Amino acid sequence: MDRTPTTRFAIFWGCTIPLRLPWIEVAARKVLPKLGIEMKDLPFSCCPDPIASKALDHTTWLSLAARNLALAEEKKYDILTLCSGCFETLKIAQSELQDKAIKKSINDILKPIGREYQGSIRVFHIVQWLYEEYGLENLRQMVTHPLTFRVATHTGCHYMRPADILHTDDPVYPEQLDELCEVLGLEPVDYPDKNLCCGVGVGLVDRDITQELILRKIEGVHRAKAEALVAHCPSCIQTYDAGQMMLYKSRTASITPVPVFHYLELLGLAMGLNANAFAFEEHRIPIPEPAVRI
Amino acid sequence: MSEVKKDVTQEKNEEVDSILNELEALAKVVAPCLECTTCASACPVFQSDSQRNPRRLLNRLGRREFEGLLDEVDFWWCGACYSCEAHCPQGVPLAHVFFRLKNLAFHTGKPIPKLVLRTGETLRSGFLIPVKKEITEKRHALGLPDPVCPDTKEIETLLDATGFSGRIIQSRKLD
Amino acid sequence: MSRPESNIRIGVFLCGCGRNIAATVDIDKVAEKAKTLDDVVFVDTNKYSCSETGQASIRNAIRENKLNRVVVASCSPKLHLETFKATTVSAGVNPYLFEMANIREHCSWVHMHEPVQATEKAFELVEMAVAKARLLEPQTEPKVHITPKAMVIGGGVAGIQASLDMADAGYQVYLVEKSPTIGGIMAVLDKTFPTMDCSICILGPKMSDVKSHPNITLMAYSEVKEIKGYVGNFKAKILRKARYVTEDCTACDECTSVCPISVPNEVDGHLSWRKAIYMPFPQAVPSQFLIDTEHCHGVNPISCGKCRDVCREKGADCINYDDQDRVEEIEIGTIVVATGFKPFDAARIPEYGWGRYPNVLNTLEFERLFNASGPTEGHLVRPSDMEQPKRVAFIQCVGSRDQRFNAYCSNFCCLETIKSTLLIKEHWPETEITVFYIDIRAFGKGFEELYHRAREEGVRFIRGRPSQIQEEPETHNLRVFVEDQNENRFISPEFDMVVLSIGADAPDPDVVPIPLPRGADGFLLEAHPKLKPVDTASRGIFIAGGVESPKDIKESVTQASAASIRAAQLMAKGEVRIEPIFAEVDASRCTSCGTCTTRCPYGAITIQEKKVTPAVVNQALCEGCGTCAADCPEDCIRMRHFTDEQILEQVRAGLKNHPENKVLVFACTFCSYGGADLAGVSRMQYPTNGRVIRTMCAGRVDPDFVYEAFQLGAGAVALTGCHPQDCHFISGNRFAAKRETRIRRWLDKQGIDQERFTVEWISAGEGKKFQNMMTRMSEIAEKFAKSRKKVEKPVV
Repeated sequence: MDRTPTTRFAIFWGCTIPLRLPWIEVAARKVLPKLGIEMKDLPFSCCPDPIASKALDHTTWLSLAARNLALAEEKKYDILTLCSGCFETLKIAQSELQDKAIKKSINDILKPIGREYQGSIRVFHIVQWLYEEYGLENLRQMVTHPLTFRVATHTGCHYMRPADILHTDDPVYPEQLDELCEVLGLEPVDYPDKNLCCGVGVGLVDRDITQELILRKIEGVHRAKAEALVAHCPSCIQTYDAGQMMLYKSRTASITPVPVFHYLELLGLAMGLNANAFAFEEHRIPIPEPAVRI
Repeated sequence: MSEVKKDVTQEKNEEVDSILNELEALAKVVAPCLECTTCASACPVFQSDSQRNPRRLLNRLGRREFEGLLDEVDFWWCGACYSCEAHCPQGVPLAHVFFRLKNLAFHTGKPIPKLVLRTGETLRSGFLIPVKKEITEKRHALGLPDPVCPDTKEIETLLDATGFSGRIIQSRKLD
Repeated sequence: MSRPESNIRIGVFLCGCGRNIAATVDIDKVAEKAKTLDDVVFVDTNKYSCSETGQASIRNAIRENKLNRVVVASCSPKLHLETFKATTVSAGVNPYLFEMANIREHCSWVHMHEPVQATEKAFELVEMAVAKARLLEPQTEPKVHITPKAMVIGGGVAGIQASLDMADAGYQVYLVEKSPTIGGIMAVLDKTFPTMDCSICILGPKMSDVKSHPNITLMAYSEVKEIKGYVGNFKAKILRKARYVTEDCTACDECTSVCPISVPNEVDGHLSWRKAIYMPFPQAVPSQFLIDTEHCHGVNPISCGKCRDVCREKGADCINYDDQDRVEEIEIGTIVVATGFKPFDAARIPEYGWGRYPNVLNTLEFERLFNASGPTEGHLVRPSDMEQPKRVAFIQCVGSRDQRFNAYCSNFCCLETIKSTLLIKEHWPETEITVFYIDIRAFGKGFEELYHRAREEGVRFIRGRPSQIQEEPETHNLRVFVEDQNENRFISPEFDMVVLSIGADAPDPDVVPIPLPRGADGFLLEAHPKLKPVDTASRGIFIAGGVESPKDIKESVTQASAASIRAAQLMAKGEVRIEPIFAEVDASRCTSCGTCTTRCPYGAITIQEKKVTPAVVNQALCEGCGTCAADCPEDCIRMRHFTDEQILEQVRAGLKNHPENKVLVFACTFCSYGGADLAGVSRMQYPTNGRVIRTMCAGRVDPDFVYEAFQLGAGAVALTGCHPQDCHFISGNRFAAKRETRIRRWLDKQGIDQERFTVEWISAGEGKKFQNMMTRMSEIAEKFAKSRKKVEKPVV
């Protein structure tokens, strides 16, 4: 990209990162400024989540999303999300609110709390921003300490589906995260069940299925001889990180646990940040020393 | 395509047209289905549990077998990953239809899965996860500021205005 | 009714078309009203005007009432214009004094629930036709000579068959093929269904016949770069690409053993290598090597020279480094386009792993593996380890029946797979074969029997369409993820090899150097889906084989023979009549500005000396699009049979009553008018506000027509034509599009809402698009009509 990327953002943290996986927030607060991003915190609420909340009442879901969008719009900020779920919610909400009748009825609901959404801001996902706005070439130039291990990428679902609204990566065979890893010097591998959903959504009704899906993913990672899993969605990361712990506690078969990284951690290390800058000790699956080349 | 999705997801007033009209509209949406099975083949839930087949449920909808459809609990097994829609060669928006069925179930007082209901209840605090002392302490230990919270009055006003709060209280649990 | 001052005697014939028109339009009422129109002296109704009885009654009426203008209100002129012109002639009246009103495709069929408005509209359409008929003039059709030579573009089985048929009938044929050999896809297949004949064995003799036929000039490794002219008189420029090997080549193969360059062999689906100097396959025709200059070091002795050296050593000396591309010009009377379909690129479906996993093949690669002259001499082995696969899966409908790629069914894939399974079973009966399908389409002769044989031989058919294929990293085996619909359970069986049964993709946009209309699916469009399956909208140009739609060998051959006789009919007559729709320049008013010469893509209008001599039209070259007339600044070009006055009278007639509610549509004969017809044939309903005026080309539409319409108070106006690359008259729609800016500026000046005017490109295959446009513009016209009632403004 020759044009200057947008860098002034209201950061949409969501719920999971600040309240369950604060180590992702630590990584983000260290790495994003190095990419030139100005980070603003606004009193957002839950996006609201695109699985449970959306299943209950659609108007409520849309109203809460519209309130979040309106908050950023009022202060004239574009939104940068770090969670795929938040990204999906805000983008779908924006798309539905393009209909004048729907926008009017939602704004009527927002009026008593003094908010109005007009539709003038943009919503980005951090991976999308890195790939489309910042660009692989610029990213490559920021890498001073290339990482060289075999990594299994997990893009998940809500980053690129539903495709006709999100327009980010290929909806069934995404490769952007792999390219972003290659730029850091990593070797992203093809592995069985690479595009398998983490299963957090169905976990609301049936945890056994989620466990099956986690197991399949981890087995696939091992069979391709990758050393770590890298993802960017906090829901997926929690599912694999904390989920593996619960899995090994409840099963008799022993499987070597696979450490789970957030992409920003690897990006930060490759940009020369010391491992101490991050909170690796907060990961449930320990990060083995050799995997973290300081 | 987006026109079809608007039909599916556009929220009507609380004075909803009869449920049958809604289901009829959804039946039209799934009409292009050729029963090729690609959606089920792609569904991670069906891959793990052959009892939960997204295609079969929607075929019942397509055949206008509306009797007892909302009492079926299978649609709660949809994890909203959209794999089905992304693979469907006829462009049937399955995940959108499942959301609509869930909405209708909620609105007509059918049992809701426990964890989903709890999410709805916690939403009132502004987040999915309640902000407890342990997490604020952890954040401080990591050098992070306090989480920025929304004005809960605003959230509560919104949830009351849409009737959400009332319906949550009335909803029954699905075990 | 007749007027004493006029000697025009118009007869109007309303057709009920059985119930097709009569069920919605009250034709008796329309007939009564038609009697009141000026110069209409006779009105009648018929149940089936196009039938023998119907035509006879029209003929008699013309004679008895001494009619000198005839209007038939019935179906689309695209269907029966010629029929009724012949009727008119048989009654002794010049066929160009005949006009049609389309009250079926454009009225009764699209307004089925609004009989009152439809009847009203039918009358107005009749009124418009009468308005034009009043001004019609007799014309004579000039005859042109037809060159008794044909060009066939494409040397696959369809092109080969067409060439042989026409050559055997005594005509000279030029067969032009892009690749170095003829034979197409059929030449590289192993066996054909349903008889399991060896493909090249049955095609080979035909290929040799082509080479040795005295009437066929084979131009292989050549491309048609330009086609000019008109039916009977085409001129084509053919690029003969340099082979660097002369015709003396005996295919001894010595050169390949010394050539240092190896290149992936495209004939084998890149599963094997060939040299830079090569012959595509042993049975190639012409049986001649060639040098692939893209990969050769360089055709000169300094860069390499090994092939020429060894050729000279052997005493042949048939490698010529001084060969050059050259352009040959030929003159032909007819053209058959048989360039085939494109195999679907399975890489577009990344979740199936083609191109990523070595043991996932597509149909063509599989055929080559099986072929005795293929990369493994017919041994079925897996690319990853050259081992014979014990478990093979076939996946159907790859790229077909899929909204994301091609919505249509590709016709041959089901039988292609069934045939392949039987071939495997024949050689290695212990192989486990599974076919994953949605439906098995075994519609042709002998097809169902072959399907049964496959089942009897133990081929497993599982109904289910896989969502993905994953590779087992250690073994390179493949796992197919699918719901076994019969068993209602998810299965992920493992296979040693998976074959993707790919379908057909539409031909490339530039497959021939003239614009031929295409359907919405991208394939070349036939003139009529039922009755003219191998004609195109361009007289003298025919289509056959996969270029028209996906099909197997038998149907390709059938169409090729059909196209041959259609072409031979023209060539046999020796001459053909040309429609007398040309431009005429009023030399007294022409200022020789030269604008018209820049509008004509046929070079039909020329000026000897700019600003001095008037423009002159070559009637033989003029195709009658009218683009020159519409842009002539002096308005001194007159289009026969589509004059300015004739069109303006139609505009006035159409907008006589309640113009504010009306949508005036200008439609071009070959595309948008056809699209409107298709909407009718498909019974797509839309509001009754539209009034269509037919011109030959969108380029005919002078901005003055649009201004007149708005000045008369039209609610909305639509200018429609072919898609940008597809104009039947090459560039007419481009010039029509350029006028849009001028027209919109005028609308601004007049204070007319921009949305009341639209320019739309609608192909003959896009009925839905026409329906959508009519619905949209009718809403806009209604909105305008309502707003006028409020403000009570006088007509502009």
